[in-house]
Amino acid sequence: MSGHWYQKRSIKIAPYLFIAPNMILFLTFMIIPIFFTFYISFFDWEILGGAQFKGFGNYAEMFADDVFWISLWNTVYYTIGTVPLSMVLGLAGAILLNRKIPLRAFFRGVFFAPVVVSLVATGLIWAWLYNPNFGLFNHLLSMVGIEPIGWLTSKTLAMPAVIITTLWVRIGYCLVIYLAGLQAIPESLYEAAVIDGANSWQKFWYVTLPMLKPTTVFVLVISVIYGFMVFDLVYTMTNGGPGHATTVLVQYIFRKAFVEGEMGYASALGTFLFIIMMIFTLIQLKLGRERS
Amino acid sequence: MKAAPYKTGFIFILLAAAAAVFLIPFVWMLSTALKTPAEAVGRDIHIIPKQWMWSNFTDALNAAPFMGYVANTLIVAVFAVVLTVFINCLAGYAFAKYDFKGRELCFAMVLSTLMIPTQIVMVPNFYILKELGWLNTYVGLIVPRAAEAFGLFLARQYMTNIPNELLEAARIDGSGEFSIFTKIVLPNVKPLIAVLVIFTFMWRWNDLIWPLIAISEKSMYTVQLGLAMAKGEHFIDWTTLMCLTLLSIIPILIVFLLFQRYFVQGMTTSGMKE
Amino acid sequence: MAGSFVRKMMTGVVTFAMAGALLAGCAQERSGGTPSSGSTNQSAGANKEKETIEFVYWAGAGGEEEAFRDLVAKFEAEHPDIKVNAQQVPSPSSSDYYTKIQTRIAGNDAPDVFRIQYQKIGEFASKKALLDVTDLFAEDKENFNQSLLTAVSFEDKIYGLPHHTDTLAVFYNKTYMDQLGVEPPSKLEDAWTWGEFLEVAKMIQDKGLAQYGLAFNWKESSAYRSLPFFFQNGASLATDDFTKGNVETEEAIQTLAFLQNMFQTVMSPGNSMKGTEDFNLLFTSGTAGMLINGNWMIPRWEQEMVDYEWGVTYMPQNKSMASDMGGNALAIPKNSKHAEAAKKFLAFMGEPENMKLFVEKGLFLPGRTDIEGPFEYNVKDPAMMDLFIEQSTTVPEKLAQTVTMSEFSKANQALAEALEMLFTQGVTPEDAAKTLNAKLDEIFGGK
Repeated sequence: MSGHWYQKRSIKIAPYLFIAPNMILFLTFMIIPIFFTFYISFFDWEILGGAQFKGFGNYAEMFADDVFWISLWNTVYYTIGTVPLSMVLGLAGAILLNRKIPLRAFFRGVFFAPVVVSLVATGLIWAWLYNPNFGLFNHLLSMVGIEPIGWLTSKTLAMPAVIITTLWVRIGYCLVIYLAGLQAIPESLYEAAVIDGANSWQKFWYVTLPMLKPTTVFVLVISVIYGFMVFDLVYTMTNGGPGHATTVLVQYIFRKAFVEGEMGYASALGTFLFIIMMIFTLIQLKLGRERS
Repeated sequence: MKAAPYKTGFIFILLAAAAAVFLIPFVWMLSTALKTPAEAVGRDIHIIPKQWMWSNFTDALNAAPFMGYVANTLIVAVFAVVLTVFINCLAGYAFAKYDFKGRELCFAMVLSTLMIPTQIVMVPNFYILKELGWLNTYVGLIVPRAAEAFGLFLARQYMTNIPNELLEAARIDGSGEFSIFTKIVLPNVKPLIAVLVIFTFMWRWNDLIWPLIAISEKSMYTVQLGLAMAKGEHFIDWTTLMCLTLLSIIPILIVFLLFQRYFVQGMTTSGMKE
Repeated sequence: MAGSFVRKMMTGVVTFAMAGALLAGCAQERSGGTPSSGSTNQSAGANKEKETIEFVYWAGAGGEEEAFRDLVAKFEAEHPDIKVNAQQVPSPSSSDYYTKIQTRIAGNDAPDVFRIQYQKIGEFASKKALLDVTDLFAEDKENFNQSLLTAVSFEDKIYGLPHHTDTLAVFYNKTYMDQLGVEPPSKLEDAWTWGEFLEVAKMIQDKGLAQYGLAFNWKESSAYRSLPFFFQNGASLATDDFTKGNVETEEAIQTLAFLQNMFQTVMSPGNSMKGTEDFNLLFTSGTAGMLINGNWMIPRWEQEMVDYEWGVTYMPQNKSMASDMGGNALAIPKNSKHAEAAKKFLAFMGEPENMKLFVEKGLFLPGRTDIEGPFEYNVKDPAMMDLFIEQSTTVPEKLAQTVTMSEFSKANQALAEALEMLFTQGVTPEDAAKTLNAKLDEIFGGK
């Protein structure tokens, strides 16, 4: 068509045009709102009231707020409870499925299906399973003569119960990723190890695990981010209760904003969470670059 | 690897047991959905219902205008899929194959959106939707969420594997950039498209938070929104709720069963390189 | 291979889209930015332009659900130029009902009429979010329940229609009572004392009839339902001048101790402020022997209490008798885009005839005091409603004044937190009282 010069120019513009739809949408519906949230975090703002400038008051209040620390601790507790177990069990399952066994695709499907179900549905089903009076778990327990347990109403058991539900959802996710990771390990490495006289355990430790490092890093960071952002299950199953036993950060933010109407304070909490998340992602980028 | 039969057998049994455990929630949900309300909360709980009340499903559909919600969600999901896949491929291609000023910055911006829990931007988004006049409309449900980071990353990653020679050749032939995209790039990334289609559909079907912000009219509810609202209504009991829950996950389960391979591919491609 | 797959996908996509569009029909709003709800509709080819008003409400039971629907239809029949877009949503106790409405008002996308608890209307009125409807009551002021009218007033202007009121009493499982040989009181003066009440509840559990002796219709948004117990013991939430908290008195601490004991010994652990237990289900399934709830629930028991006989008796008493002031008003946001039509709807709902229809079906007590009886309550046993009517006369005036203060929303929140800690965290009544009182001082004193 046209000459060389025209081509160069359209090449220069093209990428900007191509990313434009995405960038415009991100800007409008994510970046601008988050700046709005930053801005509001310096005010005392209730939806129907006016806004009063408060400087860093909300942040000061945050650090003095017991429930904030509880929610932070609960979020960490939840993350520690869900991440290692889902990764380990996912890896174990992947190893088991990485063989020629019958019905392999069926098993993979069963373990992965919970990932596909919406969290609302998951929360409802599990809340019903945990129901102290009519739920399946207590019914099974009663068949062996154990008294009904208040899974979601006990201070100590509520969080473990939510963690178990999360594992149901997350193990399949980790499994499938690890499975692909395992299948990408060249057979030649294993053969070399066998020649060197390695047994199963050594093969695992010296070949499998190191080769899985990038996968592990990815799964770890994604799972941690997911852990810190937990909301739907807590919202559907326990409402943060009993007391504050399952109050986690995002759910606490939601409460402050939409139940107690303290938008300013909730924005400060949200800003804090966003900053933590940024730090985590930076860590991921660093870890990712170090790998080589 | 050697496959000692007893070892395989043992593993099979182990997996079968684990699978059984994983299926319990689904079984329980189905069981409750088929019971009479009285049986669900009676003194004796059985897994197999005494009577199989298939009529519960029709009752549930009467209790809430569920089919309407399904229709809404389908409309949103389909258009969203088309829009999202297109702009994600476009942007992924740009990030992967062009070297332009501000590329790193823009990509960092995209990355940062992953860390914004939607809950903290619910209210600003409400006002933005309101100003645009997009509340309670299909546009408001489809367009804002059309840009999402995971799909973009997937696309970018996949596109980096396209041989540059292909693109150079097309440029030498005098093709415009956009037609290179539509005529050369897109046809070569069909597996990516398949994965994006499935994932976008799944995310949209399961999305609760955005409809919660954008919709206040019952006639515009999506499936997840309708389900969450149903839980709060006085006339919904657990049998009805489990029926509705089951109905809400059937479509996505069907899609999953048919396209399992692509789901799995999608989850893993995103993990392999960063 | 991949090509034919994509082809199949495209066919699938197109089929989906067509199916979706067909199912949706023309009733849905088309994409392309049609204005949001509550705006004027242009009827296709009709000669008159119909105005649409949006009415947002919840229904706690089947009776009121039907009543609202019937009245909306009646209104539309009487006002052919106004259409009512009735949006029934989950109740405040199980959703973010008020936040949604507040956000909409603040965002200038307000509904035109909405249902609102008396405990909440003060907050909205004091924030200037509601339309002044004093002129609707120009002729009629004395014909309304004055406590309710005070509740919907702010600075001498009226901001809502006192639609109905209700109160709490004790529903009991008669089958169980018969088995225990207990006859619940049928006269107000014979109402159980705290001790007797607790004893009956314990007996139900001890004799293995039910897992819990008692269930209670309270949640975070309705923590105020615990207030009757305070007043039964001569305690109150606020000082007489309503400027400070008053819960560090001996009577208040006794009440907290009683409530804590009650929760821990005869109630389900999930029946706390934040708990997700379905207390109504506990009652209908016979898992709880008694349930403190209100008159509007009667239609539901009639339908769902199939396995057991049931009845209702008075609230327990201690130093005196007291019960809850419940009920709801209807209000119009200040920035409603159809204020005049909305006012017509409000006036309609406030007419004696229409109010009577509502309370008869919904099983409530009317906001007006001039409605001619007899009330034909849609109930099998009229004596039950008589009991509630009698119970409603025991609402202490101070309780009514407390819950309708403009800052009460915050006080309710503080009360909910205190009770949640008391019930589920084993905080001592003294400590709970201390924390609560400090918060109340802040709230009432004007933060």
